[in-house]
Amino acid sequence: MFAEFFGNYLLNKGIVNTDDLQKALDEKAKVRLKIGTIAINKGYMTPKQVKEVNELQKNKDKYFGQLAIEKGYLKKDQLDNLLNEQKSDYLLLAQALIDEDIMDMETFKKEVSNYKDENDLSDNAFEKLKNGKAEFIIDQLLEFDKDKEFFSKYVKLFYKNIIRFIDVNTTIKEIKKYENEEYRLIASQKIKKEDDTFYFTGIAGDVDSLLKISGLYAEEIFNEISAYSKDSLGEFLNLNNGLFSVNMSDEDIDLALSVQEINTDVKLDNNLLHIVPFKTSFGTFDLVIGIY
Amino acid sequence: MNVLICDDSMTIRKKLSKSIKSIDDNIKIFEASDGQQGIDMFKEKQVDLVFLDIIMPEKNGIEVIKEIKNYDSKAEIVVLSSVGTEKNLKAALKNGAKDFIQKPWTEKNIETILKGV
Repeated sequence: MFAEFFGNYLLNKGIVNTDDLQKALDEKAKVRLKIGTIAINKGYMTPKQVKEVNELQKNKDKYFGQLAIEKGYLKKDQLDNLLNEQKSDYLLLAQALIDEDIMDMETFKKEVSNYKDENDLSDNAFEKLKNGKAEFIIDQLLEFDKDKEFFSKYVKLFYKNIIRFIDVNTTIKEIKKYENEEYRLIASQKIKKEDDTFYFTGIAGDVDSLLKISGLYAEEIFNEISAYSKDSLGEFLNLNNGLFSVNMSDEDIDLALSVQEINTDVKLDNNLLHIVPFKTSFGTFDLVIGIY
Repeated sequence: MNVLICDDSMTIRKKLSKSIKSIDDNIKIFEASDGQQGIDMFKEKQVDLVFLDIIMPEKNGIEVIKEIKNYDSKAEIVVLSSVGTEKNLKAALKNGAKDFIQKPWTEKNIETILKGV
């Protein structure tokens, strides 16, 4: 998931264009991660040193690590660390961009550092983020003015249920404020807290993606909006919200769920809502949440 | 064995029927989509086991348990709900439900219940 955040960051910075990024994201599965790229990422070597060792390799029949140690750029234990390094998604993306000459090693080093600064991430936090800890990513992305913890727990549970019942290859994109988006189809359910606060929860998007979700949940194939496909979509949301209310009741917070509603061609008139965009292998959809 | 599934969600009724049939294809299944229909069907058919939702239109699950138990004190009712909070659990058991399963169920959950009847 972090590969996509970092990719989007590079896109917003104008370092890559949409086509390059898409190509690199597609290519990253086939990419062979090079020790030099990991060494730059770890801060063990500078891009200049990596380039020098790469040049040396052209004339000498030796491994990168061997040459880097001979030059005094790497220590033995550092090389061991690099060889054991997890092949994280975002490094594979960086490698694909470098291999395709879309980004050079200096830019990679500079932008990783800028990304950390701009997002106020410590090295430890950055490690967690790039290693794909979904829960941590959700916390980083949530920018609710009120009830942040409540929403954070909700989004984490929802994400887990999407992975469990719908599609294991689902990722979350940047969470944003709702700005009068119009949805072709939405399943929604309100949750009421004891203090009479109402929360809105909804699964919204285009018909094809939502029919796919309802079909996967019901274990059926739906080609059109029907009573059954609507029921399945609403029931999936209800299942998630039921589990959420059980989790919250363990913390002595009593929640009541309203009956789910399924509507078409909807514009939600509420500036307190947020959108959590989900990208699955079959399309995209939004989780819409907020105080109602 | 005759089983009654009382749940307003068509998806749940179909999924649960599928689970039950995969465990024992000989079980006869009746479906009710609201509380009142569930009570009526229980009285009409020779039902051995009821899987019952809590939040439903017409009559909610707790009211259904009370009426069915009033009609037949030996009725076997298992609550199957997405909202398995302690409050709902206590209310269901206090009124005579035999068990309480939080949705989503596993086939193992259902098999254990069926074997117990």
